Amino acid sequence: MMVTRVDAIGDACPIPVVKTKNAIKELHGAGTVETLVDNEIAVQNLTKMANQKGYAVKSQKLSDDRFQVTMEISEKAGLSEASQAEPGNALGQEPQECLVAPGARKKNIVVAVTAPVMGTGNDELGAVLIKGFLYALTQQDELPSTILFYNGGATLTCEGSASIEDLKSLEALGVEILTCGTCLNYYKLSDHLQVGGVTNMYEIAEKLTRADLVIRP
Amino acid sequence: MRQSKEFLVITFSETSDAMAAEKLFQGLQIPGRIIPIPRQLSAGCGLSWRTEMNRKEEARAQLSKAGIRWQEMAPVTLWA
Repeated sequence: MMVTRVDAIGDACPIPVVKTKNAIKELHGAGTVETLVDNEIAVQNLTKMANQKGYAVKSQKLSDDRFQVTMEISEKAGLSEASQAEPGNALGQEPQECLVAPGARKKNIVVAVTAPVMGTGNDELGAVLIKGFLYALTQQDELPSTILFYNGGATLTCEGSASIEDLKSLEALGVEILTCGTCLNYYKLSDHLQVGGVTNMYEIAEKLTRADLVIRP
Repeated sequence: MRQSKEFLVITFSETSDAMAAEKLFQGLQIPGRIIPIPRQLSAGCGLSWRTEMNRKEEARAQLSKAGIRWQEMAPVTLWA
């Protein structure tokens, strides 16, 4: 199978996406395209493009300013890209690809999980909803920096929680998972933490005050 | 590393059917999990079952044996 490498280091949006799309067209069928970029925003834009097109994608941080995004293009998808008319093919002509603005800094998003349920009303439903919410976080293009668990939310990082695997995969992607130590102690869960670290109220207050956006599901 | 791949997603029109399928598949040790219906399949709300692509025939046979109604079985590319 064909492997094409695209060097988009130093390029501002939409150039990395345009270069990658051109490389996909050049495949004329199935193949792999590896794009090298120097910032996380470009990784997000490339990932969004791949998800929209339905290409399998993986991304890897090689160093502080080197990221590799690899897309697998199926025979069918490759042929369909190659056969499309190419009005927007020239470099710089696809501003709609800048889904995340060039030069944007990664937003500091903090999720505060305050209960073992999502919303108020019925707690059985609420438990299904919070489990679905934490899974849906794993599917976002833009991940939070930190997820805080306190009060009843602390049970979700402990033994018996249905969300441990999702939280572990978020942690592996660089999301900081922190549970309130006072809460673990109160619920007698200190020995049962399954994912992430233990924190205190100073750090919780700091994470919340320094956030660009706090999400409380 | 973050990696996406193609999964088989089975949707149901009733939440209770999705939960019955979860119980059935877990009992049979068919790998997979309940997830909210992916956006690629429907803008609606509801639950679905996500499993490996090669489990399609087995899942179909077991659902029909257990009398659980499903709506759609479709391949969807998701973060693994």
